[in-house]
Amino acid sequence: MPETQEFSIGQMVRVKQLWPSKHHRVPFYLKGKLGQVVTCLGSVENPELSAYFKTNADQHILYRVRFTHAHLWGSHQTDEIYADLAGKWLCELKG
Amino acid sequence: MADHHTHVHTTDPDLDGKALSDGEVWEAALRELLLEKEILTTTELHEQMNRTASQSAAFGASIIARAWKDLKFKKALLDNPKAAIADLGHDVSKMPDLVIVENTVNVHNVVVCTLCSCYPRYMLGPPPEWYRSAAYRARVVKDPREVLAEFGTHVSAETKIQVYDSTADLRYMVMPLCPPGGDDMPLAQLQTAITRDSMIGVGFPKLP
Repeated sequence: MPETQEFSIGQMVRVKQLWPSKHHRVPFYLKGKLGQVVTCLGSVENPELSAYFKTNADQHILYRVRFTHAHLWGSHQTDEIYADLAGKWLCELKG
Repeated sequence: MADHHTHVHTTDPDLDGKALSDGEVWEAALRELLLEKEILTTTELHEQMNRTASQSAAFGASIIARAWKDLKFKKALLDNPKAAIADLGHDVSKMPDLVIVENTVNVHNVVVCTLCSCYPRYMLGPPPEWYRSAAYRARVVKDPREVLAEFGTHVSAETKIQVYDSTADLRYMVMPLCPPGGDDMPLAQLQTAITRDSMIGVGFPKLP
C-alpha cells in the first residue's frame, strides 16, 4: 500500500540521521539537516528494497526538499540545493 | 628500446593484448547469463546498444531551441517534459522521468548526482567523464561558483545558484537562458549554440 502524503508544501523538515549500510538514496551531507518541502513528487517504488530485486517493494512518497547553502555550509550566498527524498527519511520539526 | 618489434599484435581487436578489467568480466558474465536464460534477446541487446550510441546532446539542444522559439511548447515542456517530447513524435517509452529546470536572470541551475552518476542520457547522450568524477560530485554541491568558474562560467553574485542533486529516479536537465540575439536566429543555427554543458548547467550557450 502506498503511504499517504505526510508533509505539506512549504513545511520545514529534518532529514533523519540514520546510517544504514545498505543501499539508500540520501546523501551523507544532507543527513540531520533542515530543509523545506517544495513539491510532492508522488509515489515511487522503494529503492531500498527494489535495489535488491525485491519484487514486493513498497511505495514511497517522494518530496523535493530545498536546503540553503547558508545552513549546510555556513555560506553567505543565497545558493540552494534541491534533493528528492522519501517521506520515511524526513521528520517534522516540533514547535 | 630500438625499433625492434617485441610485442605481439593480436588479431582480435577486442583484446588488444590487455587484460580484462573486473567490470568487463562482470559485464560479460551478466550479458551471457541474460541471453542464456532468455531474459534478453540479442536483438533487444543490439537495439538498446544502438539507441544508446545514437543519443547525443544535439537532441536536447533541438528541444531547448524549439522551446525558446515557441512559448506554448516551452510551457508544455516545463510542465511535463515527457509528454511534450512525445507530442513531437518521439518515442519516450524508454525514457526515465525527466524534470527540466529553467534558468532565469536571477537563477542559474546546475545538475549533479552525488550518490552515483544519474544523467539525462535520453536528452544529452552519454555523460562526460568529469560528470561522473568524485571531484565534480563532491565539490559542486559545496562550491558551485568555484567549480563553474573552472569551466569558465562566471555566475554573477546577484544570481542565485540552485544545484539539483538527482537522488531519486528523476533525471534533471537545465533550460539555459536564450543568449541575446538568439531570438532572431533560425532554429537550426540556434540549437548549435546550446552546448551539452549549458544543459548540465556548467556552461552558457555559445552563439556561433
